[in-house]
Amino acid sequence: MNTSVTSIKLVLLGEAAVGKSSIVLRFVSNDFAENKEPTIGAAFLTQRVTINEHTVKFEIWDTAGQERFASLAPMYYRNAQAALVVYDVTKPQSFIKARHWVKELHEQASKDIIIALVGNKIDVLQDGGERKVAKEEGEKLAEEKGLLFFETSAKTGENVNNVFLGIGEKIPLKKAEEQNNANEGESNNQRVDLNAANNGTSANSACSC
Amino acid sequence: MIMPSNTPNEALLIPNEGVLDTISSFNEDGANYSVLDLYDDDEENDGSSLIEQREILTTRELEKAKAFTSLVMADPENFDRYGFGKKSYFISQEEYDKWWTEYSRYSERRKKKWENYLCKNKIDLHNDNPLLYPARNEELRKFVRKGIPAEWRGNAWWHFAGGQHKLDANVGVYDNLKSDCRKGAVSGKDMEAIERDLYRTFPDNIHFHKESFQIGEPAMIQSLRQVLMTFSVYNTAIGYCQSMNFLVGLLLLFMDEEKTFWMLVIITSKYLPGVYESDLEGANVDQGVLVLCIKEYLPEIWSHIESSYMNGNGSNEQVSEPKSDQQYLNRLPTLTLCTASWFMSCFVGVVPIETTLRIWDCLFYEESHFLFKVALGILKLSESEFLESKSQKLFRQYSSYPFGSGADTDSTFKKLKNKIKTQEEADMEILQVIQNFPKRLLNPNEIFEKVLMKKKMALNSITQEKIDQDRGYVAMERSRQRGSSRPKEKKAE
Repeated sequence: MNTSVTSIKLVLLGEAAVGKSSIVLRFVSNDFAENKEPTIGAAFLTQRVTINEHTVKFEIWDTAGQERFASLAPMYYRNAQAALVVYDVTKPQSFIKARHWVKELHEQASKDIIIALVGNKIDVLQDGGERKVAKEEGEKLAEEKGLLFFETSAKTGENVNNVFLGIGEKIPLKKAEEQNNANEGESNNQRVDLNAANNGTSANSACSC
Repeated sequence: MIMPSNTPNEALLIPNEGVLDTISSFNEDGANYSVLDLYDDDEENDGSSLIEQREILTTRELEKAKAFTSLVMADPENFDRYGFGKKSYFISQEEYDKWWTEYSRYSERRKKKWENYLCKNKIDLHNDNPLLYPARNEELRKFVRKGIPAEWRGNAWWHFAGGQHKLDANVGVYDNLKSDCRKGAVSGKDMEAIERDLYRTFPDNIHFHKESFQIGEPAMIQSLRQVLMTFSVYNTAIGYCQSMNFLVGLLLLFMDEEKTFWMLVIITSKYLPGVYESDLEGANVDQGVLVLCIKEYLPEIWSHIESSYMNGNGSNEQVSEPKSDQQYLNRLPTLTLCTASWFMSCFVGVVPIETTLRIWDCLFYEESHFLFKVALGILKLSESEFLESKSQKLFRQYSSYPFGSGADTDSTFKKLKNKIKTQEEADMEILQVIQNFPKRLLNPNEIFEKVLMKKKMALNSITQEKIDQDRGYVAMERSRQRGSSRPKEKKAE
């Protein structure tokens, strides 16, 4: 196994209460909390994963969803290599907000930023809740704008790891020279093998790029 | 609303009787409820409303209910006297219990001293909940610093913050605003944002948690909604800002709706002006003030922030000149992305609850400069942790390495560089320490005795006047720069 580590700075954006923090909690701690408290300002988390025998360290900025906190967002996405733009499949308004975020990222963020559009809370549909944003709508937006697309449930864990796996696969791996300088100091604990924990079932990723 | 730690005490403040019922039944009947037991009990008592509920409780619902964290099913021993869960991701129940044994004794000792102090000053204990306190003086300040008895807090905060003056000058205002709310004065946007956050406020506190078998809303949730909606009508420039839910939620555990409302007015206008408004500029100004304080009082952390700026972001470019204050104030350091929330929520959820309450005692007695002292105190305490962290050590080694002197050096340099990569990596580590360290501050005296009550410590010389002056300076600098060059960061919307 290659022991070099690629760091990926990733930011989560999206309307309040769509499940940004819950997606991160599922990914980082494989946990879920009902009625998760709103994030004030931002939270910073990291998670190491193995993708195709390569270690990737995600450095995650989880941001507050309320509109007025949006003025802080450029501080987070300024140097980000990846962004998750999250919406709630039962809230059409959150999809409109997601469109805005994609637009802003394309205008303001780094040119080669990898964006994943994520429709969260699909567990609500399995529990009889009504879907308000068709999967095709998400796919269409993703195709138009060159985004990765996923539908997830932070509650059940469905497809969450695939989002990060998808991002990881899109980020250019380290150059051979750098890989040769193996990093001895890195510890391997708490590492998640995304290939092994590939728990997505029905929803899959549609990528146009 | 305080659950007595040992014996039930009827004299405790009872802001909301509906909730008290829940607590007492919770306390007296003990543990080992199950969702179904409660359901059956209810059925015997009140069959009519239960027909409705039976229909709702389908098999799937019951399965969900089982999966749902039921707080009532849990042992009352798991909750503190305010209804918060004792353990957290950072603190185990054992740790909590061990600390509480000591701290509850400390609290009892302090309360006796308070009683003597008030008696000496001929102040009525008012059935174990004094309404008045001596005029401000050094001795009283020391008493407040060491903690106000939990049962007295609601009235004491109200008294020190000048709540009664505010209320007397605005008699009837709250009720009028409430009736405006009923007539639809709350904006759709605020209403939606408030509704979204009601159940996301202290979800692990028994007073805010709706059990899956419960039909109506917990009284505390109704009060939370009422105060937030009323405030959004009272101050339309702020409306509703996330973090106010935590302030109101905590106040409601200690006082009634109307008082909570006026305390929120005082916090948002007097202590943290401009902080919650739609551009959050007041929050940015306060972070600028904090940065200036770090520069003055915490040189070790400051040198780290400074080198972070000089090294560029994520690259090891040529070291440039240190930047001027103006540049720091306009482009705030990354660390402030974490510390901004400390101020907005007045440390609710940032540090464990008993520590939060001690901070609030001083906030209402000493005003907002105390929040800056606490922030600096936390950074000071966490300093040793992150300055000694591995990559930080390596980073210093790397920084002091003689650059570009021969092949040997170069290869060693490369090795080192590979180990620590960038300043950015050290930054990340610092952010994590700053974010997680305060969550372990279970014992308020850890920060109060080691930092905040140490007269010799330079940061304790900070006064309210200094903070107010700095706020004026930072606000001016920021608006000057924003006026001259419209930053890209401003959102188009």
